[in-house]
Amino acid sequence: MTTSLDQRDQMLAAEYAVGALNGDLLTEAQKRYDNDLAFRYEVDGWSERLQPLLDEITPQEPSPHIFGQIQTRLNLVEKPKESWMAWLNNKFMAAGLALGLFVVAAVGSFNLMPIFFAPQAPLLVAAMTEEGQPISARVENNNANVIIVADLEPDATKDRELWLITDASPNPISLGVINAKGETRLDVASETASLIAEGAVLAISLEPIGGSPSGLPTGPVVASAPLVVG
Amino acid sequence: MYDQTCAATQSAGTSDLEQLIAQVVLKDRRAFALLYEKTSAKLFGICLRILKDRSEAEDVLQETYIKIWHKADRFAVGRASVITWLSTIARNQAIDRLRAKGKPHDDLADHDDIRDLGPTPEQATLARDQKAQIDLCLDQLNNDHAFAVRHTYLSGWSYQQSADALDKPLNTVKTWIRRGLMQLKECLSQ
Repeated sequence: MTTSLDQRDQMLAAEYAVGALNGDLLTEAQKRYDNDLAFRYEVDGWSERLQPLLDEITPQEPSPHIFGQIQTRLNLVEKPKESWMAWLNNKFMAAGLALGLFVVAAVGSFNLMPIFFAPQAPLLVAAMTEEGQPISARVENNNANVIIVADLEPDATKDRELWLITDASPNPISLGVINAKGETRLDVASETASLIAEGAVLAISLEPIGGSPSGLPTGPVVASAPLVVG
Repeated sequence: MYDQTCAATQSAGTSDLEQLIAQVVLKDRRAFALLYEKTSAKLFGICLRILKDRSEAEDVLQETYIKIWHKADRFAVGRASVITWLSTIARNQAIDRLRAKGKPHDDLADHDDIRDLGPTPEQATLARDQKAQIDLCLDQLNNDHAFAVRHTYLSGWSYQQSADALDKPLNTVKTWIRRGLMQLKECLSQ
């Protein structure tokens, strides 16, 4: 099977397997490996030959959250995520997202929140709306703070609570109760800060005064939007 | 989550891994989780050895398993054992990352561990025999040649990095490694 390879190709296969190649030769070897069965067998033979050397390398445990991230990237996450996403209500999400994008543009042009667009490192923001009223969120200080700006009608019997919904956690994570009017600066627990990333969703639910007693959302979701790079 | 099944397959050998790969080809998530359980520490060790940076190695580990998920069906096309196939993907991903960074080689002192090898506790007898055999064959090579082959393979060095590390001209090191590989092949086929 490998007899069709000349000496040069046999050497190339060995060098590819051992990992010594660089630049054009590496590219050539990669292509040959994918398209030329004789070459592939030769490389595989070398990999098999060299493999026992890898036993010298002590196995190391990766951080426990890595597999969750792989599952997320592959869209393999099961039940918990789906139920919480259902909780968010697809129709609501679609409308919220469309409105949200509009609001980002509107907020920018009316210049209501100049800090929103301050020329800094990429900033994560979410533009939510509650019945057409914009609620802006931005993430600051390496995810240590989430700042909410809103201008809503205060409710004497309910508080609005902000949640982080991410594939990395089976349940929504409370970020705290927000003020109906003006700015709320929320401190984020360090274990939660590492979960704040582009694509995670911020949502606001109506909860008893002081926030959800159970640690999980109990009331209706009134606003939500994904975090995007602002 | 999958502890029970995992315990049952704790001492899984090659055939169990082959079974898992076959299930992963069919997009079996549970099999994928088990495969990760059983192989991630080894593959992470390989990535970490090459990249020397935990978060980068974890990044590459993610890419490795994403590739495994998508390309499991390609496994059957080749002639490598499962663990070789998996290790090769991890090695190649890590080497690509290393080359892309143009990261300078690190000190030889970092690799002293290679010269006095510790035991390899979890390896089966067969693996130990294979390891013993390749060590024996490497021992028969000229010291420099063996050193260059070992490091190129284990640390993901390019010819150039190997030449820099050994403080020898590029062509000399190329010749060493090529000669070393040919002798190794001959020795291992005996």
